[in-house]
Amino acid sequence: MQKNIISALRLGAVLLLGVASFACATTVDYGSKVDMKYDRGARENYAVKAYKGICPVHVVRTEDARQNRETIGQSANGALLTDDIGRWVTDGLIALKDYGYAVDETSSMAQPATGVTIKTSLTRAYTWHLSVKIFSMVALKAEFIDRNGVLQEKYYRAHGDKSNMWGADSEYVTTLNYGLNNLLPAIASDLQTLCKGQKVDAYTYSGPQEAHKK
Amino acid sequence: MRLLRLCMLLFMTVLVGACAVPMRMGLKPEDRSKIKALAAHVIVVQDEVIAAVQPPNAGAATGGGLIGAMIDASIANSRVKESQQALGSFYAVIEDLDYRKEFNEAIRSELARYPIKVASVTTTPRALNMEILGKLRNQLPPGQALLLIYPRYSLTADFRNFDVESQVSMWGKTDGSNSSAGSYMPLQRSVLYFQSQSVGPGGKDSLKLWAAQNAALFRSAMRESIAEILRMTLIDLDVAAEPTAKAGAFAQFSFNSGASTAKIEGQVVKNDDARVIVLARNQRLYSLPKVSASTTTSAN
Repeated sequence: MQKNIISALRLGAVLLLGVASFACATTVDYGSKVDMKYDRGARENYAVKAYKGICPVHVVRTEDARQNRETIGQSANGALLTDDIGRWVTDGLIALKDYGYAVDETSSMAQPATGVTIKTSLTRAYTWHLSVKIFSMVALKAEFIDRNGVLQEKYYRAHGDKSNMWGADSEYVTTLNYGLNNLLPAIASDLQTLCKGQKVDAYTYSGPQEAHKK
Repeated sequence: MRLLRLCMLLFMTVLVGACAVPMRMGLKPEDRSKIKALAAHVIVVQDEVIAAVQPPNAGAATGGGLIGAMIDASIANSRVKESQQALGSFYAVIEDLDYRKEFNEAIRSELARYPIKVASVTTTPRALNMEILGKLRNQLPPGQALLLIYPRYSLTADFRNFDVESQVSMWGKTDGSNSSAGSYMPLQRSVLYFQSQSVGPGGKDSLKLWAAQNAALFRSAMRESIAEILRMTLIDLDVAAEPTAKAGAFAQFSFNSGASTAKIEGQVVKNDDARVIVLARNQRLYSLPKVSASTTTSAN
């Protein structure tokens, strides 16, 4: 009971804070650096599909190529500051293991002896809010090279959302993890095609609904 | 402890909100005479355009509370998902666009014509908070004031228009007493609103038009918005703090709210071939495309 009351108070406080800060167009506390850690558990409640008959996947560390590498948005506390967040995406790609792939990390985009090598550039990672919801957008440019030396390029985008329960900066990171975890099923699906040496579409956009369908 | 901190933040925020800073505050002649130069600070938090999904208000309709908030959250979620899904392919065409960079380049040349000398320009994605605002104000050299420009841009919910709402305020050097309510009052404040020409019939058809030819229309509207926001910033210093009966008749202007065509009542400040700038009764300064011609006039 007490827990429920505290939760209600927190949500009420966040709501009021949102309304008040919107009215003022400024925030009242300080900006802080967020801890950008990949979280495979931060996802909508859907089953991760494990593929069969697939090839090994080699992941090159993601380049942080965002136009804005300083922030991922703003919370009620101020700017949500970041450094290079390439590692965050790399860790997400390594979690393609959850889809049945044998994944390792490599430093080279050279033609692999087996399987497919993937090199990505992160072009967008940001959050925004509406009402009591936080939304996120993640966009990646991917290059794939297979054992035959065939190179393909593709754009991926996905968004995620969650309720803003505490007004904590970490919730914005969680929402970005929702976005990344909505994007991974599209890559996992494409890798099936790439493993067969076939061509993939040039662009895929995934919202939560698409992640559910995979 | 965290809850206590949040409550303190809330209390401070409400206090600042309770200062009831008006939507529009004119720069007093005595303040203007003291300002020798401005440090311009442009805050563009957004990394790209989003759809201006209307926040639901079921919470208010149900008398507030958690149930209302939960209904609101669910509606907001569904609306954003729908609009982002529609925007999916459009984003691929505008990925290279950088509104922040465009604004930074434009402001450096445009503010050379500002009635007060602009000594420096900083463009940043970092949202400001009161602590940083205080620091910026403390750092001001004698005779300088801080000019804050905070643009937020979006496509209307029906995707027909590109809109920019820009909060502009001017702040003097702090007196060192951040606790006094007076230190949170700007010297000048205004809200500038730009709306582009309408494109297409709405929905995906409009998005196709925005995206055509490497998003030529969208790029053009974005640049026009920046130029127009800066033009409004320039002329704003000489516009009355609020519409007055003396200044002439009020007229009505059409404005796309994203869900319907709304009417704005106000007085014309500037009128040229393509656009009209209107000081509205709601104290916002609007730059509207000329097709939104005034429909009715009243001598109020």
